[in-house]
Amino acid sequence: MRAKNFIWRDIEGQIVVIKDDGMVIYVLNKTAARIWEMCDGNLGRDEMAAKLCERYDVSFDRASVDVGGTLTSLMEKGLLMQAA
Amino acid sequence: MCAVTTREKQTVRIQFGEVCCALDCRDVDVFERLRDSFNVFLSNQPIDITVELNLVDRLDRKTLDTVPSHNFGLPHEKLEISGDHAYHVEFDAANRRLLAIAERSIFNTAFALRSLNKLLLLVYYTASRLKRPGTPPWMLVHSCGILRKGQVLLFAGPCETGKTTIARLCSEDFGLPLNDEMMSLSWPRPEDYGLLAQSAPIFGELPFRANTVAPLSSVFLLKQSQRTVLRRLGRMEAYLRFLHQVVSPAGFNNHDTRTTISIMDSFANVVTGTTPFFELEFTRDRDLLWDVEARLKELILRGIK
Repeated sequence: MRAKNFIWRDIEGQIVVIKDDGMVIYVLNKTAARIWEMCDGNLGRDEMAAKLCERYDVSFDRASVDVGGTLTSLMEKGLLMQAA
Repeated sequence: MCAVTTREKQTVRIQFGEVCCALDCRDVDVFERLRDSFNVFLSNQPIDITVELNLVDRLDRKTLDTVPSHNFGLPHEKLEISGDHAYHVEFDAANRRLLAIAERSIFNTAFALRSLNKLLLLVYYTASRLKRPGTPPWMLVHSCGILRKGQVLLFAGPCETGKTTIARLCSEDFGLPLNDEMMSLSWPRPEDYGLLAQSAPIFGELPFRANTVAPLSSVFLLKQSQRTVLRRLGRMEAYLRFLHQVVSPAGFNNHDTRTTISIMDSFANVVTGTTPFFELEFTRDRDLLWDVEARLKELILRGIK
């Protein structure tokens, strides 16, 4: 789920994430933005991939790879934390 | 030896948006300079916060202990203390008073009044929060404001990007420069039909010309370049760049960085969502500066679409 020490905002479909000390700002690409929106702690990876398939013309396998890569990247940047 | 000026204190009231700040000073020369410099911002409104400005020959621990009102007679845990090379500042929240101790020498330099800016920002945001808890009704933006035909054009950018140059250029016949360093912007309210802009009593290189409130027309983000180019900015780029020009609304009585960042984020979002944003690249070559003016005039004639 999303780390609590960030503030985020949707600006015309793009997501900007700001660390709450103001020192770091990320702008997420389209795929990362959609995955970020789903990171509320209620959905697993497969459910996220399935939702991407509903929204975009993409195979489940492809979506799973995108979700996995994006979650790893967001986790490495400290934007996500493990759900309790 | 005590280095504090002990003449009778004199007070000047400065209107900073909705906040009236009383500035007490015992040094006659500095007081008169402050009163003359804040000319268009002098106020008779009820005082929201008082700043006691004490000047010393040297700002060190030993001198601080000689200042009569040092610590306001309060225990340290009742005070918030801040400071840098220019000022030692203490805040007594209960009495809405700030004690600022500064070296007299900083008022002997050409930069003197600009060194007050940081203190004024601290005072403004502290008083604003005391007066109206929550989000400050006016936010400050590093920018030059030009009043033209009843509306304000805002030229925003960090130091050395040309805010003062724009103000000097525009003073010919283009419009009235309000401030070449910092402007206040309101949050949009239905009764105001949008955002309002107002000069702030923050010192730039040019003297204050007016203390005027007018609707915000458009924002130009400045970028020095070897050419003159004006382009409309997309929302995200405008947001990201404008966010950096919004002055942090931190003050005494506020240690919540997350709230501070949230306010800046919300404000940048609102302003970029309601106001046309442009990037103005320009060279500081004097001849080409007139090209900037020509382009701005052309843009305004077209109604800044």
